[in-house]
Amino acid sequence: MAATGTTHTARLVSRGERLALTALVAVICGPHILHLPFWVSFAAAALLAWNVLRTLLGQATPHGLLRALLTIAGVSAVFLGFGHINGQTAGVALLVLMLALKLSETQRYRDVVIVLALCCFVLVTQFLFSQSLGMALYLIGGSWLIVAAFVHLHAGDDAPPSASAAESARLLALAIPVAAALFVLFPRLPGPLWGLPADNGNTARTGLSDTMSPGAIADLARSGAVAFRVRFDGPAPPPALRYWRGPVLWDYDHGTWHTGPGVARDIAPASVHADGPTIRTDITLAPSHKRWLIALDMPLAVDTAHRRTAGGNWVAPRPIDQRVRYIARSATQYTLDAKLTPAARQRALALPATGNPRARALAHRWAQQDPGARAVVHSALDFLRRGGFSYTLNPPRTSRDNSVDDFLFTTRAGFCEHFAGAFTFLMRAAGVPARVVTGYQGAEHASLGDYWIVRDSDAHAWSEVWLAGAGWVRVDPTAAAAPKRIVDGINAAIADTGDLPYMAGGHGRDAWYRARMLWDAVDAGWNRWFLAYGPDLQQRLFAALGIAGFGTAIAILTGLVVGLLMLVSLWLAWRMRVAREPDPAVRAWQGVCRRLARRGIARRTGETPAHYAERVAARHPALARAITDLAARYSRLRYASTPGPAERRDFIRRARRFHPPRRG
Amino acid sequence: MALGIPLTHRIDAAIRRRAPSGPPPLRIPARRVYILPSATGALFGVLLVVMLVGATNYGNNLAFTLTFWLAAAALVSMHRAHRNLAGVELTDVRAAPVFAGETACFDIELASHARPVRRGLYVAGGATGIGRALAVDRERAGHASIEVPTHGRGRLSCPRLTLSSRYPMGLFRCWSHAAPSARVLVYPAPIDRLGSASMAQAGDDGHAEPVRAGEALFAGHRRFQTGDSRRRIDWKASARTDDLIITEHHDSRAPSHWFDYATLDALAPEARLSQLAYWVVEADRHGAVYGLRLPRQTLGPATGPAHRRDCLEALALF
Repeated sequence: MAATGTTHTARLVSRGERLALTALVAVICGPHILHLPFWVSFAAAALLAWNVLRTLLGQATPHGLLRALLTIAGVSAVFLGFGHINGQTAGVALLVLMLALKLSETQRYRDVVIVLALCCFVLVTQFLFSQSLGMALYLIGGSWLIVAAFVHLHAGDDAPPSASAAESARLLALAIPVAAALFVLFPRLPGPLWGLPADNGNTARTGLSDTMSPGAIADLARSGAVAFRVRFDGPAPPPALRYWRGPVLWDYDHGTWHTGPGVARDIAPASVHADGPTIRTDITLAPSHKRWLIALDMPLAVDTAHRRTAGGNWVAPRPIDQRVRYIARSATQYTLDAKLTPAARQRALALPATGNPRARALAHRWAQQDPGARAVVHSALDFLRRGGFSYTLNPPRTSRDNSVDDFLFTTRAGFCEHFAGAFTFLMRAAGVPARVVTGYQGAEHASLGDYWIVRDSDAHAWSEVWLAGAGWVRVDPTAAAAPKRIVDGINAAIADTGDLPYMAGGHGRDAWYRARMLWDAVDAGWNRWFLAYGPDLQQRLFAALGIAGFGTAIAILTGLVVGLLMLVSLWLAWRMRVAREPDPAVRAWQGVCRRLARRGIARRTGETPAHYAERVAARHPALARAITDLAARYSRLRYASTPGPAERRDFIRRARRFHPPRRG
Repeated sequence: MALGIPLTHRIDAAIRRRAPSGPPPLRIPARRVYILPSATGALFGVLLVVMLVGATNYGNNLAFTLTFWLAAAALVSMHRAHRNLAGVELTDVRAAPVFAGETACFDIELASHARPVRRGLYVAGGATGIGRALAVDRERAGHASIEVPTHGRGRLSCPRLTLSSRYPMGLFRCWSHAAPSARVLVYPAPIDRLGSASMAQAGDDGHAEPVRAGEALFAGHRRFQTGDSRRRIDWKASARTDDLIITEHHDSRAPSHWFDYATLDALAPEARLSQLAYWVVEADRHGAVYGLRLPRQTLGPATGPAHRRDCLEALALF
């Protein structure tokens, strides 16, 4: 127990502590292996191993020059590898490398604190790549380890690691109510503050795009990822009406359909009139990095939406980079744009000057046979129904400028974007205003929980034609060629089901499928209640609670946090109270001493009862007999071999009755 | 700043005045525990702000969760830090006498009567006082020693102690002062101003032989008397008789030496005391019988550790 005689800041980090710190860094950086290039993970692992080896061999900190060279090498390697050092992945790579390097020169308190702070930072960057439930568990474990390291650093030399780990758990457990209050009530600002980097980790997920070229939706359909989950307020509409409206594509150019510049701002927003009952849906949408708020066709209102487009779908004020949850009201029977403005008509009829001559000729022939728009639609659907078209995820390639001709007359095999694109082209060529609508078709009922799952594999494209008196009317040319697609889903409609993702394939609802659905229920709850909580839901919550604005929220939050901390403080005070003496006889004697102390004769530390009694008797002769008797009995009780219970009771009774008279 | 410095001084003075004082045991009351963020706490705060901005930018709920959870843990740690120090008891402060110029060492005993262990307690005192991390609980007291350099003789009070702790997370430094009324006796520094033969000159009973260490001459035996040093028992001679026999040397025949303050008039008063202290220490080392004569006090002649202590104490408090 030689006094080290050092303050905590000057203390050198021990070998065991260095190894533990290295292990902590390895655990905290671990999941980044999934997102970082191989060479970064390898370099970081090598640096950590080097650190372990040097610690075990008891070698000193590497030379400053070597550290500087390694730092320069790390920054250069990241710059060369990524082409920049400020993107998300590049930044994380740099952070991980610098943390591993910092570890090699960790000698003193200050270095350890910096390593721990960097660990917090690395931990938070994990969540940019994934916010799954697994990462939530990782957050708990990581916080526990980091806080335990902080505690161990300040607990003194003789604290066992288990005590620091327990203290860390206690701190974090006590922090939960305050953290929850902050999470719910701390004002959330919408949108990015400085813009998201181009290589945002979430871009891995594909979604509906604002362009549609042949093969685009087929690619999307190969993903089993959940696009959104939906709850119907009331019964779900029949399968044939489960169309989910996404971006509307007006413009056609070189085989590709797109929304057009500025999402067709030059045309006034669509006007919708519901002709039947409205359906209320509660939708939790995965981040798409686009502004589309997908809703059941035809959406009348979406609560968090910014505006309605000319195509009748709704867009958010900014790209959806995080999971959002919103309420949409829709009508499956509706009138959309009963009147067509000249600008819209012009746009809905526009075709490039050249390309696809055979399709144009066919359309002209139909228009000459019967110029009525409905007749043209029927002719086209009839052509698709009888033309021997097959519905497949893997259609043969078509040329860029004559893709419609190739599909209609040569390959005769395609996915929904081929059918919708070709049909819309034919309509425009025949003089019928038409456009492509993309979105999703279908929904799968979750086996657990009252919600429906719509996956990327449900992505779909269809057409809308404008008919006088009816407005825009949905025509699904895929349904003409593959009617099962609409009612039974993609799995039933296509021949090459092996290319479908597992969950879209159905696979006879085996045990694995059921397990996946169970997990989906958990994930759905996580998305709906945790991840979707953002500025919009917070505003809605504030409105429901009657909180007017951020000022009130901050005031309530402050009060709540202070109140919760006071509870923590009270609990601590209760735990830290002076422990009550378990032996009633000792307590009774302590009571005697306390009462005497109030009369001015406090018992000294280490003074035996007999000595104390002598002193009391000298000062207060009147008490002499009583106190000497009590002291003698107490000594017998405490130090005699086996005091009887009667003797104990007698002493306790006498001690409690002992009350020195007040002076004066 | 001109106004700020006196203000901090005033606050510091107020804190000093309120420090619990008196004989141990002293209990640190909860209201006398002060707490401020540490440098680590400031760094942690900056980290949390950066994390919050990042979480807002990405609208990332797990990042918000981590940020808020760590912030809440930091707030809870503030209360924990306060509770870690409040109620700690200074149960004992003691120090062995030292000679002036040496370092006095106050041994401090800390205890807690509450169940949970209090960890990472530092005790510091004086300008050069340093502490070490202690853990105390109901079963285990903590010991710290505060070293205080001494300059002059007399009684030296235990410096005002500062108990501090950064436990649990190091984000807050919490401290409290205590002024236990414990004192250590500082003897005059034993300095021989008069040279090696001085001890002989100091004798005034006619025995003028110079005395040097290890040169004592055998002068005969006598019976053991209370107060005799046990080192001087002649065990061989004792074995032949029923009594313990003491070997007597020339220099130890009672009263061998008188050390008199009055004879040292050539020296300054403090130098006289140092000279007397030197003689006392030397005489005791040789097991001599000696007496000390001070203007209003005469000690001895006697020998042994108790006599040495009495003499040095008299010199220290002269």
